[in-house]
Amino acid sequence: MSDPVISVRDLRVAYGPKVAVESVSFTVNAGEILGYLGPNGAGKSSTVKVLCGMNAPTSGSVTVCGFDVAKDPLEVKRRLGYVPESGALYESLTVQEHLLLIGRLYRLGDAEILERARKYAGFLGLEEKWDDRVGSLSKGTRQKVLIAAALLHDPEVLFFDEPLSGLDVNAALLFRELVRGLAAAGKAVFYSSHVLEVVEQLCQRVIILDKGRVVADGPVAQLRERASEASLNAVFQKLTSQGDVAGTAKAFAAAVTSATPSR
Amino acid sequence: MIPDWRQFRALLGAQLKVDFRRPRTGGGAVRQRELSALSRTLLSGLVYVFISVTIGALAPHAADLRTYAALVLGFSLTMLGMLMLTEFTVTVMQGEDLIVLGPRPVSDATYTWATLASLGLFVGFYAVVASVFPVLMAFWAPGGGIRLAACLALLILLGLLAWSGVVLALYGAVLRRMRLEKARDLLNWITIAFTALVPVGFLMTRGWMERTGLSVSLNLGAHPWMAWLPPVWMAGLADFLLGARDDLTRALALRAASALAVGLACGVWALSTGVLKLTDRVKGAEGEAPLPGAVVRPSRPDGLAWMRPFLPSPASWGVFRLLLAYLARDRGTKARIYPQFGASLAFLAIYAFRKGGDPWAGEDPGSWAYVAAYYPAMTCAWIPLLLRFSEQWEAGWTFAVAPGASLADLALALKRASALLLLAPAFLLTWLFFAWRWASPAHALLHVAPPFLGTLALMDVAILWRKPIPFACRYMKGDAGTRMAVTFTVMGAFTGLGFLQGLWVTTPARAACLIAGLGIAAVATERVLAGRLSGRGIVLADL
Repeated sequence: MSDPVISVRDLRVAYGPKVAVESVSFTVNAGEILGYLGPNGAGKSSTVKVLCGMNAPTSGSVTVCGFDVAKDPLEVKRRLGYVPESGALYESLTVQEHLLLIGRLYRLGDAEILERARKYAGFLGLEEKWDDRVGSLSKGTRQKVLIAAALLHDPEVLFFDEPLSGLDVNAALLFRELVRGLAAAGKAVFYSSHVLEVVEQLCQRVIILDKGRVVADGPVAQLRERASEASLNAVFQKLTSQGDVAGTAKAFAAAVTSATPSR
Repeated sequence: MIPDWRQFRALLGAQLKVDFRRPRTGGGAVRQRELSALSRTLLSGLVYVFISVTIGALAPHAADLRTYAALVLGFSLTMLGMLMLTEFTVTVMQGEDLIVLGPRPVSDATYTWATLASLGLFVGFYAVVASVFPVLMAFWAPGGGIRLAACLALLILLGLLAWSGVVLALYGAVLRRMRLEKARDLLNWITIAFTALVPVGFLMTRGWMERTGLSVSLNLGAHPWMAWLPPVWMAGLADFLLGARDDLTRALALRAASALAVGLACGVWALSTGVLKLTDRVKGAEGEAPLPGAVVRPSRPDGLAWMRPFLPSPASWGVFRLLLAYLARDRGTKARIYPQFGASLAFLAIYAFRKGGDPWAGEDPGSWAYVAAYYPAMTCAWIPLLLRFSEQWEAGWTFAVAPGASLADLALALKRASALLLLAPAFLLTWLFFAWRWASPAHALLHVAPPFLGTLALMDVAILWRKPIPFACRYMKGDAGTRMAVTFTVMGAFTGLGFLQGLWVTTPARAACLIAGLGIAAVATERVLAGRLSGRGIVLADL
């Protein structure tokens, strides 16, 4: 069996006294889609930032495509595509200019960038927005630009951090199938999300993180079986919930309706 | 250390586009009414043209070549240093584009060189605008000609490079030794100190003019301390390069050459010791642990209850509390607002040093009495415009959806909150200062009240001009230039008021008239402001 594309061993990420990730270990192989789940503040984004070479790990070892993230971050970055939840765009550039910039940063020729970018824009429905400034685009359209930018250089490994944010139903369906297709073509995919239904359908394996530590790791079916629950949603809730969600929601709604101000 | 040239070209091109285009924000709202960043840059460049023409016009009046060189170099290098420091702090230290570039294979060297190049082109634009006229006027300066013009141009270029070296070394030093947030704080305080240098320059020029009539002369014999001012060293170097070899010229030239060498060495040292790697700190900043004090203890609401009558509506009270929180805690806001008062403090110190008298006791107050009283008030007049900016500008949508917030409500809240939180303390400080100097609180009040009442009226005009929504605007490169344009516009109005007070207000009765007139004007402008904006809800295009 070939070496894993992503290998994380005893990862610890701390910001001063605050520990965001503790003793996290896992591997992702070529062609595999790993779902990375956890409640808010569990340490998902901290992990992604280390894996993408944006932050250094406090301790532990992380290799991507055989390169140590701490020692060779540029080699790692050359091989990965990253789709964040939002924000990572130059708002004053047009869609075309932004994609050209990103492609040039991966040392692609302009003709090649434009050819690929136009093709991707066609698939994602971005052709009409080609000369629009990113700042004038809707959230979903910006997300499409981020997806196109992440795939321009045909990366070996893909990191998705809430990639469906703002996408409409059709675009989300297209994206889901795209991820499947990319994995089938041998890409390793790291998929961090709160949308458990998508993760359940898409990922062969799931890691659930809570308070910076791994609380579950395995195929979805195995996790369901182990937790004696019918869905990933229920497994997630059982492993990470702080208490009675339904009861809390009911009390919350009651508080809102009783606090309605006079208009 | 060596950048990837293809990436460098791509990044520089993108950064220049970003710098010279105004982003369209606010959920897709198109902001046609706003000037493009390029237009704003050109507009603020006009201010530099105005100052440079004024400096250049002094060429025929300069007593000698060295005086003219000191004037030109003093103005150009101080202005460029200030721009360099401000824009460097805003662009490099904020590192906003590192969110885009973080996961890309861009080395620190490539990123930093591209950023420095973009900054260099930006500051270079102002360098050319600010220097071209005084350099050309070198033909009309005593002993001037093409050699003086070339010499000035060369020294401005060398000075700019030396400044860059100093700023780079400073940036490296603070980033190595302290956390990013602390480093930003320190750079902000350095900017405050630098702001205070500007009035010292004014004082110098003023001193020369007083002693020699229309002719401007350095007169180092009468003022030996001037020989310790870097622009005078640079003027000495210009003199030396043009052939003067006396002891004083040689001493000044040696100091200038040493300063330039130190500046350039700082840059080389900073680059050779891996300062470029430090951008990692900016990239990873969001991961840093919160600073001590980041957890805020809630203040007792009753402690501020006495201010409530000034801000009757819930929305205006909300804006007031927001301003209070930002002025106390937000580093970006503090960096933009507090340095504005650096020059005010310097002017008060200069007045104390020059020992002017009490005009109401028949003494000569001197012109600095007016500058010291008017400058703090004038500074407050454009504060509401600065309160538009925030790194958290995206939160501005809150005002567009809040049902209770009309534009008039918000504008009045911003004005009154600025008046309570900044204008009132500045007034108290200035009043107490003059009361201490003149030993008469009543006389001090007659002197200080007019400029501060004038500010209340001007704040309304400024708000009507810009309609600022608090903290809903993104701060961009070049806003320092716009601020300077506003500064000079407001300065014109205040100069007129200052002359009126200095020449006409010679009795307490006239002072009372002026104060009453300005009080009425302040009430009237507030009514106009409320009238013009009443009934207008806030839409995304306002943000």
